[in-house]
This record gives sequence, structure tokens and C-alpha cells, in this order.
Amino acid sequence: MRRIFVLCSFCLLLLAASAQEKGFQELKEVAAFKAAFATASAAMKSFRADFTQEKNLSLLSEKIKSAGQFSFKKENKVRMEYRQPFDYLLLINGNYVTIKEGKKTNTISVKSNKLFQKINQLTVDCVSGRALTNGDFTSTVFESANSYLLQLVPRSKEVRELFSGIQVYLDKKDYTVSKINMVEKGGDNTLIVFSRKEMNIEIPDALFTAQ
Amino acid sequence: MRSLFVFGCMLLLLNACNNAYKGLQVATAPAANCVERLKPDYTNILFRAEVEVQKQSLGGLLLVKAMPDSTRRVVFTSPTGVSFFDFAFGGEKGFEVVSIMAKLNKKRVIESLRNDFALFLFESNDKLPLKRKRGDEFYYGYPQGEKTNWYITDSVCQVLKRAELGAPKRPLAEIHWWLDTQRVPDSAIIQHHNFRFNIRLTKIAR
Repeated sequence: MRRIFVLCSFCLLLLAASAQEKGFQELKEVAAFKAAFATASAAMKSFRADFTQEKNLSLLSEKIKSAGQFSFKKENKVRMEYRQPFDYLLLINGNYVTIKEGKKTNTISVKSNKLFQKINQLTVDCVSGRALTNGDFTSTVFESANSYLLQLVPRSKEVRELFSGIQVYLDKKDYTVSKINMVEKGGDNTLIVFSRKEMNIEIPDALFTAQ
Repeated sequence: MRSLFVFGCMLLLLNACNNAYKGLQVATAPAANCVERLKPDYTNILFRAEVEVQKQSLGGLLLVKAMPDSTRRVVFTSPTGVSFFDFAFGGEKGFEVVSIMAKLNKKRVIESLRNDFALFLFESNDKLPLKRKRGDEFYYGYPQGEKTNWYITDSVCQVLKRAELGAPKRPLAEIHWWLDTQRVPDSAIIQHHNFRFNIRLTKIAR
């Protein structure tokens, strides 16, 4: 019986170690972090950054790379403009998602689609600093010398169909998002890395509507 | 009686008109392994994919890759990285759904995509084909149950003109390729005849 207990403890330890990224330790003072994160988020009115995206197909040993510019404006406006490998525009404006590809533009209301609603909310929450309060995920916070890492595990069945977990990396100096890693249940992942970050700059509302 | 005869002739004529494969003549192929010689090279290609289904359109990235275990994988993802499907063709299983988004996980959808991409990849071509001719076009047919995968070439086996997924009397889908000098597809289009479902593929340089 004791052996089984030791074995189980060892397995749990291994599991915890594997869930924890190298260089990161679980944060003890979560309440203090949440308060500082909330203050920084409240002060952020807009955010713009370049991004690179890497879809890693693990079994195929393939990476599909994309790049573009990301813009966010409070409360819930997101513009994700892909410039490589081809032009593709994703806009979130309140309850509406617009996709523009070539000459085709599709706008849908996320109200009619629960999954879209959750992804929409998650995207906004990741950049606006509300990821920890999103009830669709359980969260654990880790820290390294320069970053915080929010490990988000989806609670809802719909989101679990797409992702087994989402890791949001924040810069310690200003609490802005620096990386988002979306891990699928099969082991593939999509890593988005932000660079040339600008905060609280003027971004016209017109950028969040398809023109 | 005469009008009945005329009506009968008209019906026969209409029937002949409706049968797209009527008039194909049994032929001797101009070259051995013609289809094998002309088929595109799918070692590892990333395509931009534009899918039109009825009035909807869907964009994404389609990866076709030959794997060491002799299977070929067809993986379709959205530009934002969400996986739509991952199919494996060939190998011991012949075909396998490695993964598919819940919304697409329907027997008819999978069957239709499987047929399209099997034709696209020149799968199930290990048997000797039926050989037919019409005008200066040669038809190489590979029966797949009630349907046939037809590959249509010129008369001297220099040009792959198109492929057709054929029901007994009519093509259900058609594929056109634009190949570079190494036989790698620069672009391709898969068009369905019985409903609006088209897939346009354009190679992305990497």
C-alpha cells in the first residue's frame, strides 16, 4: 500500500514538473499578482504589436509560419491582420466577427455560436488582462525572472474540442502579453509571439470595421 | 404509332446526351504508365486554400506531405491556426481520419473530402487502368466501387488535362492542375458539378 502511495506521489510530481515550463515556478503570491495585473490592465486603453505565428504540426515535423500586425482597443475591439503568407484580416468588434480575404468579406454575429463567443472572449481577455477572470478556464500562474505565465485549461467541452490548454506569457515590466501558445489535444500547437509592442496609442475605430 | 416511335427516339437521344461517358472507345494507351508519368509531385507543399461551399467561403492553409511510412497527409488549418482536418492517405490502412473538427465530423462530409483528395493525390492507382479514347483525349479509369477516378491526358501522354470523379453516366467532380517544370502544382482547382463546392489551391513559397 505504501509503495502504491509513493508511486502515485512520484507520478503526481512528474506530472506537475512536466506541466511547469522550464525556468518558471508557480507563483505563491497570486493575490498580489492579480491586483497588479488588474491595475495595469485597467490603465491599458489600446495595444498594437507585430506578431509572428507558428503552427507546429508535431507528428508531421512541420511548422507553418505566418506574420502580421495585431491591434486591440478597449473594450472589445481586435484587429488581427495577417500579411504573410497571404493577406487575411480578422476583426472582432463587440459581438461581431468579420473575416476579409481577398475581395470577400464575411461578418457573423457570435451570439448565434457558443464556440465563437468563447474564442472571441478569450482573444479579448488574453490581451486586455482579463484572462484570469474568464470563467471558461481554470488558471495557474507561474513566474520566471522576466515573465509571468498564465496556464489556462478550458472547462467547457466546446473549447476543449479545440485546445487542451493555453499559455499566456506576460512581460513582468508592464504586464503586456508577449506570447500566446495554444495547445491542441493531439499535441499540435500554435505559438503567437508579439514584438514592437505599443500601448495607449491612438487607433481609429474605423480600423475595426471592414472597409 | 409514329409519334410513339419519335418519342422513343427522342428519349434515347436525351439519354445519350445525358451520358457524358458514352462514346468513349476502348483504346491502347500511347505510353506505358502514362498516369504515373504525368502525376504531380506532392512531396511537401503548402497551399493557400479557398473553399466555397454553397454561399459560404472558408480560407485556410492546406499542407500535403509525403511521410516516411509511405502515407500522405493532407492537413487543413485556418489562417489563425485552428485545425479543420488531418487525413492520411495510403499506407496499410488506405485512409485514416487522424483528426477532424467536431463540426465537420459527418460521414458525408468525410466521404466527399476523401473522394476529392484521393483523386487529387492519384490514390488507388495501383491496378491497371481502364483505357478509353475520345477525339484526342485519353481516359485512364480506376474504378472505385460505383464511381471511377478518370485521369485525362492528351493523345501522346505529354499533358495531364484534368481528372474527373465519375459516376456511371456523368462526372461528379473535376480537378485541373497548373504544374511547374518539376511537376509540382503551382495551383489546382477542385470543382463539384452536383452542388456548389469548390476548392482553389495556390502554392505558397516557403
